[in-house]
Amino acid sequence: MASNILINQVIVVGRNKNYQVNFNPGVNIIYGDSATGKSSILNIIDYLLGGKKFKSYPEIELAGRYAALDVTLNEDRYTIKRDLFNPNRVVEVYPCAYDKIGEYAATNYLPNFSPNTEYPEAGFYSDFLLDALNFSRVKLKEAPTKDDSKQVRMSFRDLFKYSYINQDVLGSEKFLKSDNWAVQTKNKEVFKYIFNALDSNISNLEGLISEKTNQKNKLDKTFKTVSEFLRDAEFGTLTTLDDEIDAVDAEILNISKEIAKLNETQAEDPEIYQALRTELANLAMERRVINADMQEHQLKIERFTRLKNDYLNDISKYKASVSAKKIIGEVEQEIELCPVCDNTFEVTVARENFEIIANEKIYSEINLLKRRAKETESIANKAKFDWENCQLKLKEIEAAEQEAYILQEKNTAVTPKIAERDIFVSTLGELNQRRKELVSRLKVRNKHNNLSISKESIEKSIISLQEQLEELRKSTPTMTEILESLADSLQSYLRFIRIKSPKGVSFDKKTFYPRVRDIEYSDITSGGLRTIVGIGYMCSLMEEALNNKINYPSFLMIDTVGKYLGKTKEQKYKEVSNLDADRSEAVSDPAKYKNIYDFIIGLAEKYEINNKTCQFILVDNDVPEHIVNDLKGFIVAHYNSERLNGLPVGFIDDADY
Amino acid sequence: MKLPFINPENDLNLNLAILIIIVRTLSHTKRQTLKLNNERLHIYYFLVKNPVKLNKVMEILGKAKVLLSERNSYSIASISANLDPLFDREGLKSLLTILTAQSLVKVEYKKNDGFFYQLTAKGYELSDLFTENYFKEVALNCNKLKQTLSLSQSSLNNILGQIMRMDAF
Repeated sequence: MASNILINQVIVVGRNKNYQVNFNPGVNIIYGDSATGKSSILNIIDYLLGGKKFKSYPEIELAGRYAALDVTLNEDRYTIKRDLFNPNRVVEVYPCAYDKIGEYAATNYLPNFSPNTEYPEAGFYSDFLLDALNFSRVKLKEAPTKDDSKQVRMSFRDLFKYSYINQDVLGSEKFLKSDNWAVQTKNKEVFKYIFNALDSNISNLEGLISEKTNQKNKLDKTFKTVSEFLRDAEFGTLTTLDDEIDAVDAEILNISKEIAKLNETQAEDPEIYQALRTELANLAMERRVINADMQEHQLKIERFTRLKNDYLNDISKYKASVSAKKIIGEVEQEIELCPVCDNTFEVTVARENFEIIANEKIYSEINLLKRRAKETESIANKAKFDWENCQLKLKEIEAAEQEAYILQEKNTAVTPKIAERDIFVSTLGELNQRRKELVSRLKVRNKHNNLSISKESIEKSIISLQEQLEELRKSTPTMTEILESLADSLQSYLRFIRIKSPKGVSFDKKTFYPRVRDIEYSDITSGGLRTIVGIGYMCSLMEEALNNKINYPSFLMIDTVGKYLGKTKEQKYKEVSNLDADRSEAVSDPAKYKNIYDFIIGLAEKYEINNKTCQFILVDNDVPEHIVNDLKGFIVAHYNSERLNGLPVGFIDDADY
Repeated sequence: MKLPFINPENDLNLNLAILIIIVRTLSHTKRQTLKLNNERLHIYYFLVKNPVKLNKVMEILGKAKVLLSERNSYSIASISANLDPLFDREGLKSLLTILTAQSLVKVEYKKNDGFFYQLTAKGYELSDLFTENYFKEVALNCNKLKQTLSLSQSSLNNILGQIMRMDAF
């Protein structure tokens, strides 16, 4: 099993939106004007794979928050999240694709080898990457020739140097050859490591296998314990949790719809409600007026009826008076003496206390009273009639009121609706709460599930390591063989590119640097040729990884392929490169340039034919038209600083500064 | 002082006739005990002329009421009775003067209880002639009041006092 890095997606999570580029297996080309963020994409990838720091540019500083890398390491998919501005913050690794990170818990790793008090348990990010790629963790001798040499830890970064050439080093004399002797020595050791040519390789492998087996057993145990626990806690399996979340989601949707519906109907109701209220208020007012009228009528009826009765009483009294007069007769006016004492009965005086009314006057009075009684009666009757009318009106008002009340009741639907809405809203809250709970359970479940996945992948890697060990035991490759093979690859590459006289191609036995026409790489005068050879050097590594099991991730990022090849407009390169040498090498020949791309594409095809995975990410400036047309299918991002043809202005396309 | 309009309540003959009817009905108990002295006569005279008040007395006593026509129960007089006659001893005295002078009423003196009135034979004859509707009403009222003859003077006064206080509200 060959190791490989396959980048699926690079995401910069911004304040307003996310910026992302998708990548495919095989060749990926990013091209566009300078200062549009092409190189930044490679920088971000490098940073997310453990680079020391990220050279931020103003747009990202303005809009970005953190970066994420959706990557497949060997066969496992991971999403790596890292703070863009603080390289010392822990790197978060999710065991899933980027769009699912909400469902999984992250593991934290330290970005460098200095321990962090905040995360005492966290492992090193470099170790994670090496493990994931199934590379053994080794210590390299600082002085390989001495047996008692101090050893330094080899990090993933040492290895990644052979997978990423940034635009400053490509084609430069300094490529491969560091000024620092110690680094040079280390690089050589890493180079050996890549080709399993280290003296300690077999023991390293054995160590790795035993470590991995331990790891596997440990995982096995953890998995079982956690399984039991989850079962006991009736935690719900992945599928039931998934189903439950789906059900809750459906219900949330439903209730949201109901609430929206209620909101709509409620918007109409207040108008009707208001109208009804006004109508009822008017009716009540009318009723009050009529009631007052009726009271007045009632009073009138009472008064006049009573008056009539008084008249009638008086009439009967007058009649009685007339009759009494007839019966009693004239009261004589004589004075009589009391038989006992000498007092007299003064009838005259007595008569003065009362009235003696003449009959004619009484009759006329009776007639008058009769008339009056009639009048008062008719007034009372009129009042009665008015009262009845009022009563009728009152009934009408009552009917109208009743109608209004019924209407209101239909609408009072308003109040129950408010109650209904309240119920819905509270249910919605409960559901959302429940959903959160389920999602967090799902996270736990996924984490648990992931244990078995990692166990499987460790098992696989153990098998592959054992194969590798077997092979190594059979035949440990010597450096000479390896260098010969690499030189063959480089020569066929140079022939393919059609450089002038591709002869004297070899790899230096001591420095492991490529030589063309027996001239060491750093001594080649033409910058263009250096670029071509530099790319060839990397491609031979890729080719070696295709054919043999080596510790190389089949991943290559090259920044500015066309550097020094006469395609770039930038003047600064021309100062570094010897123009005369360039001219004599005819490196600006468009055919050579095209050949480089064709070779890389051909290499990727070879991988595909062998059913192996590789990835090339190539960045270039303004590529000539005829090449662009041929390469269209490989372009993953294209930027234009003038926004020509609706192209985005750069990786960060909406920053205003 | 004479008012510019006439009022049947003040008619001499009417009042004489009422008084005759009262004395005829209420002068004595069944056992011929004389009951009608000045004070009692005064009270009866007032009640007979104000049947609404009379009913209130009966109400307080827990006795059956007089059946009143709407005319009597539903009039202005019924809600605001003229109380002046209750305090007008002169009016009653002059009426009695006339009646005695006409030999319609005779007076008997009893030690301790003072003067008691009853009709003469001429008075009886006369009283049979009062057949006018109003007189029938008065006679009915008087019949009701017969039940109060057994009451002592003081309790009768007491009841009247209660009615007056009721009216004050």
